Amino acid sequence: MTKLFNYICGMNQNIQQKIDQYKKAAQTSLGSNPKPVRSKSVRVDSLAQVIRSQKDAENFMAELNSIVKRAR
Amino acid sequence: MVTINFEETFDPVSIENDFSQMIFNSPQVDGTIRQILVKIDPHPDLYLPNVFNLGFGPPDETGNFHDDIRLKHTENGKVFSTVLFHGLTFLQVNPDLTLGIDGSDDVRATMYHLMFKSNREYLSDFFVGIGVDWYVRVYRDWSYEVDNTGNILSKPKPELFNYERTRHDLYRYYMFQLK
Repeated sequence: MTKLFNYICGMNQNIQQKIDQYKKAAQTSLGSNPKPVRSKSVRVDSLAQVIRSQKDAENFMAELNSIVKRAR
Repeated sequence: MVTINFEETFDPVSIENDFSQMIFNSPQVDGTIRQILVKIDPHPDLYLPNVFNLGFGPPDETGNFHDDIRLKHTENGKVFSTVLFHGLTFLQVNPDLTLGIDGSDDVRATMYHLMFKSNREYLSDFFVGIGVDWYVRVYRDWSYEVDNTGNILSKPKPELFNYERTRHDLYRYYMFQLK
C-alpha cells in the first residue's frame, strides 16, 4: 500500500512539474504558428438560459461552492 | 473508452499566456493531422463572472471552433487528456474559478459524462466534478412555476457528480473546480 501511495504521489509530482513547465511556456507565448483571433463565443449556453437574475446566480453559485467545499 | 492520463498529452503549437486559447495538432485515423483549438471563454451570462466555459474542436474562420465536426483521432485519450490538462492548468492559475462544459448536443454530453465516469478515480485527484440538472417548482395546487409567456420556469440545481448515473441519465450541464 505504501508503494502504491508513493507511486501515486510521485506521479502527481510529475504532473505538477509538467503543469509548472506548461505555465512557463504560456508566459513566453510560443506563437510559432499564427494564433486565431480571440473572439466572443456565439454559442447559446444552456446554463445562461436558466439563470435569469443576480439572485438566481448567487443562489446557484452558493450551492455549488458549498458542495465543492464539502467534497474537498 | 477514453482514458485520461495527464502525463500523455500533445504539446501546444500555440498558447495564450492567460490560457484562454491553445492549439495542438491531433493525428487522425486517415493519416492527416488536424489542428484542435481549445478555448476557455468567460461564461456568456454576466451574472456568473467566476464561471468559464471550456470547449474544443477544429478551428473555424471566426476564431471559434466547429463543435459539429466528428473527427477520428488516432489517440482519443490523448486528445481529451490534453484538453483537460489545459483546463487543470487554467484552474491552478485561477483557483477561484469554475469551468463549465455545456456539451453542444447529446453526443458530446454523453462523451463527457462517460469520460467523467470511466476516469473517476484518476480525475478525483485533480478536480471536483459537478453535475447540474434543471428543476421546476411545484406549487401547492400542483401547478408548475411558469414564466411570463407561460413556459415552465426551470432553475439549475448542482450536485456532486453522481457516478451511478448512466449514459441514459445525462446531466444538463457539467462543471468542475480544483480539488
